[in-house]
Amino acid sequence: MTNANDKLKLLLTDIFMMEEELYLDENGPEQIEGWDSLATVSMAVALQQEFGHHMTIEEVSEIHTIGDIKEYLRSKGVEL
Amino acid sequence: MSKQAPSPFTNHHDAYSMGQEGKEVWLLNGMRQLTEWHRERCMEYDRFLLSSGADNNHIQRLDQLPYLPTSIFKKFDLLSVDPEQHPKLKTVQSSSTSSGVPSRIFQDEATSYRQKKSVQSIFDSFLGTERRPYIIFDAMETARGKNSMSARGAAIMSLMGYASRFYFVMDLCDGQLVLNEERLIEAVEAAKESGDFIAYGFTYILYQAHEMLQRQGHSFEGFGNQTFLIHSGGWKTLQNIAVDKGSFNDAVSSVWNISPEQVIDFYGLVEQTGVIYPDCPYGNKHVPYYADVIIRDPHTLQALPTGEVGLIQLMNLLPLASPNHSVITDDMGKIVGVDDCPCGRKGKAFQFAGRAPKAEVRGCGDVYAEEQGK
Repeated sequence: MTNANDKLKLLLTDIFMMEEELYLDENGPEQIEGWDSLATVSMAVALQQEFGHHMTIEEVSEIHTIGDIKEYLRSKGVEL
Repeated sequence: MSKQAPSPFTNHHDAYSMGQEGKEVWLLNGMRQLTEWHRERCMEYDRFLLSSGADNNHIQRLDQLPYLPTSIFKKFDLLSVDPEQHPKLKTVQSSSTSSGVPSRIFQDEATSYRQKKSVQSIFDSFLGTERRPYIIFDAMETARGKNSMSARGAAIMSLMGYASRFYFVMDLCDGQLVLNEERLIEAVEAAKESGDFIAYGFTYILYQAHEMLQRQGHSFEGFGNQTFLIHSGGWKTLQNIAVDKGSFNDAVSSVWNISPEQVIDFYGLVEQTGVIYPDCPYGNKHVPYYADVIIRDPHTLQALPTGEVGLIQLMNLLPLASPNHSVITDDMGKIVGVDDCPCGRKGKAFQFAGRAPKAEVRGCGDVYAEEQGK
């Protein structure tokens, strides 16, 4: 696991208030109790602070799972 | 059954760039299509139109489009999508009104996306596009929600796209909102570092918080002209204690040493989620190109000309999950001009003129105040 992936895992487990074992690419709001609308915004703000990329409305609306978050970061050049 | 709903957006990025004459034919066509879309999918809506004799084929003007009273969304769950095919369907609901029954509007993913685009397009025009620290005069619990959201929560969330960081500076203690001064100071420090910030609170909550800050002698300095304090939710409670818009703006802006014009009131209702009406510096509310406002005589329901006060009918092209695309409210207002506001925004400009005399206390902020026993 890369440093960026460690960082992302720490960030998402904190924001979504989830157990580490839920940090799986296929998991989304249905599996993660704490992933609500406010947590989605918190995630977007935190990604901006941590990785330096503002998410647009279009980009946020395409996030449905942890895998989508990773895919978004990869598309911005972050190595995960 | 029509497969595609009309797109609410053209290639105009600015919500107010289209003049009234230019938009009317396009909007009328879209509104007729959207009426048909809902009619084919929502049996109750179709029955309502049949019983009222509305004939979509003979509509030539926007003021001939059928509309539902907002009160209908308190009595019925009107749905134009199959919940089984839309597992992420959400509800947005108003605070319970004095009748005790909230309005419930449904949102599928496509509607939610359209609403976010719309709000962004409107707020961009008033706030610019820069992200700033966002101070929220409310408790975090208000904005939490997976499948449903209150009007207050929705309003808070609508500004999140402008936040570089956000701070909820109130706590919920025994059902009462209490200012958390430590968090406020933390937020103020972040705002000072940035030079500008945005803040949001329900009108009555924002007033209460600033009245307290003033009483405690707080005065914050060093903020620029891209700082805005935004509020919504209703004026009735404040009017009852003789606080008008001018004194409200003075009270709030003086705490932050900014111009009263940087305090922005916006009008909006759950039944028109996604289209909000902030005041421009000339005190007018502007209608984006994918929406329209008609003022109607409260007795005859005939459309009224510019300058006459009547019931506000609101319509927009956004909603796909509930037939709330054209509603008549029990709010009063008047059109004050078309394409001619000195602020430069095109389309109709209107002003809010209070609640209809027999309407219940309904502004969500007013309901909050009522619940607090004010």
